[in-house]
Amino acid sequence: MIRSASYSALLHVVAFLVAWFGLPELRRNLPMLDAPIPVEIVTVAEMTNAPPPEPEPEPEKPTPPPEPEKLPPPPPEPPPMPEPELAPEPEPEPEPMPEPEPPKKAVPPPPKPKPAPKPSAKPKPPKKKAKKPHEPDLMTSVLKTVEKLKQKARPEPEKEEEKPKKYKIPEKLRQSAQRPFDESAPMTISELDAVARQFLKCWNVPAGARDAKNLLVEISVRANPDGTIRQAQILNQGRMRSDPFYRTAAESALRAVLNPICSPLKLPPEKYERWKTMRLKFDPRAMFGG
Amino acid sequence: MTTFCGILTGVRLSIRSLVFPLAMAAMIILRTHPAAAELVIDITRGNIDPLPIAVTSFLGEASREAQIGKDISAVLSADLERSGLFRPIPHKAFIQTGTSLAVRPRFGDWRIINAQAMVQGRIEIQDSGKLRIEFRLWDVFAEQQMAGQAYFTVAKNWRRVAHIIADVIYKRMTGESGYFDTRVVYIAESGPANKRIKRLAIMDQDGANHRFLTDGQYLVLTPRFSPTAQEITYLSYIGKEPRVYIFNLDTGRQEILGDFPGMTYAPRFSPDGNKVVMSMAKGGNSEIYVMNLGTRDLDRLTNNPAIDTSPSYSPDSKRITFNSDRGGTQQIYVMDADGDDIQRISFGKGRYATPVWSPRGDYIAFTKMKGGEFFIGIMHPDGSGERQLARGFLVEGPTWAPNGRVLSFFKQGKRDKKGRGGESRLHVIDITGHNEREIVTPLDASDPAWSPLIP
Repeated sequence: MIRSASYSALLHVVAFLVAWFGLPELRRNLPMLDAPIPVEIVTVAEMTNAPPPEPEPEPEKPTPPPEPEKLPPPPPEPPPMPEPELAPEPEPEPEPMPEPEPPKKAVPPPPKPKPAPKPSAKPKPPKKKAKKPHEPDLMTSVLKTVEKLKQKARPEPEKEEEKPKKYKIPEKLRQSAQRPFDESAPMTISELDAVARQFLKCWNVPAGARDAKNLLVEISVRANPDGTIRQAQILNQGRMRSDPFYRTAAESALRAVLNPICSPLKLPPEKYERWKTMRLKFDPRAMFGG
Repeated sequence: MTTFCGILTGVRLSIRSLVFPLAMAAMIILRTHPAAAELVIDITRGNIDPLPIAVTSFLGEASREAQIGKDISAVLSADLERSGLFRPIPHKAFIQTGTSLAVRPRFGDWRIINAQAMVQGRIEIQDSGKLRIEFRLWDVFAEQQMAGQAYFTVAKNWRRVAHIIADVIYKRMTGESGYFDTRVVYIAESGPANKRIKRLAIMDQDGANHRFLTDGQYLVLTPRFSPTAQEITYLSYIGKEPRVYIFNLDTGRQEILGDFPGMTYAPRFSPDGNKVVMSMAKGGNSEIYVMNLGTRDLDRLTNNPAIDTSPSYSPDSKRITFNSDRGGTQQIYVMDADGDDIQRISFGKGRYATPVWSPRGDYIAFTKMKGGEFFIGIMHPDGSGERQLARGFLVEGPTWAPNGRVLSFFKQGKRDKKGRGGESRLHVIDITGHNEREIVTPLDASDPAWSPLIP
């Protein structure tokens, strides 16, 4: 009886111990389920709010291909050049006018006046041209038409860009371009990314340096409205003085900021108030698999 | 009543005295508030392209001065370029040239050609015949001087001054000490395979100033530089018995390190230069011994029936890495400097040999044999982070540059049936595994040993 009672007591104790020590293990496992997943909350704009100057250079490149097709018209233009000089008659003038522009890098304009009248705007140009010749001074009329053509020149390239594409997309683009920037809107991830990508070319990372993974450098930057750098300063001056590796990393980051290749920074001018002072964090960790 | 008024004024005063600091605190909070909302941009990607640097010819008034200036600039450029971290810009691209370089550089001109750093200098031969060489290193974008020094030396030393300047620039731009003012000692080999002549030879790290130290009468093996003095230890078979010798580069004298009862191999200095650690075979069993060069006392560090060899000290002299087959195959081990606490650190496939501790302490370089091929690799002293840097039919004998960023080794090609090929050459490679280059030697070369920075 005593023996069985002692067995029973022993078993109870064992069961109790198992229960007691088993629990902490279960608890330890729990955190595994809670493994933190780093999530970065970023602002993504609903609409691309890119400033107009940026898209322009890109579409300009695609335009040249269509130009050669329409180029045949320009060649005949050069000959007219002498004509106005010899005999400045009212009617031929409007046509030679576009010619002075080509030398001013405005190759697109010459073809534009011609294609434009064909599809839709045919009536308008003739009217304008007709009015001008009536003016007494031929030179003033010439100058005015030049001005007008210059004014036209800007919107026209857009029309040309639109032509090769489908008509629906450019309309949307135009709407977005016309939409005023919301100054209070936060910087979007794509805008920040554009700047970070810009530095890919300018930042010579101190490769292979000892402890390269712990060389986070912060640079305080004051920028001009055009995106150029007014002032740049390395923030951790104390470590600059004491750690030669950090100094190297910091100087390489500062060189990246001051590098003319990265000037001006591609930031939306309308949000200047947001980025006129900013902090650039140069972190080489990702490049060394940290 | 008066007391009551007194209390009131006291209260007022205390309120007044509180208002000011509170207002100040509020102002500070308001001021710091915009800073808290400051835009932060994370830049996590850059490039590891070599840094564009403009090294101008050092100016000199006399034609001889100008010639030395040109030569120094060329050696300096070549050093920086060979490191793989710099890209010297060709002189043809320079906008600011000639005597205008005697004054502060026109930074705009250097920015246009995208020079991130710029070096200018001047040479002057003094009445005593000595050279005065000065240089300045400029940060082109920040428009600031980063380094500037002047050296006085005899004219024939111009080449060394070029290396010293390269070291200063390297250190200033990378944070790491340089390795250009150094030499490499190696075994120069010539003659047919069955009657090979092996001579001890030495040269600057760029291959210049090459000379032979022994005449090839006796076989020489495994030369090693002393970390503190201009001395080399090596193994020589004078009288058909392998012995460890010390060669003094300044005096040209060589002496036997000791007459040991057995065969000695792989001698290597301790970092303070006071001891030599080596393996010695007695009765067919090879163990690791350390000899105090001052007292010539010999201590045994290992005691195991397996072959223990190729010992190398850690830079703090507290640990020794070595090669042993005690685990069944050749692997790398580390132990305390007194022989305690032996731990195996290599666990990959294949056989590991010739471990060498980096002067920086963060890596151990080794030779690895796997699948009929040889590799030069590195791993951390705890065995982690193993990486292979170079491979070949035969790559062997890694040796560290004094800054621990660059390794040298020798590479031998396969000999074809007609006996052609099979040349053995010295190579250098960065620890990143990039920028492998050959050091040109007049003959076949093996077993390189890199010197410390010349004092």
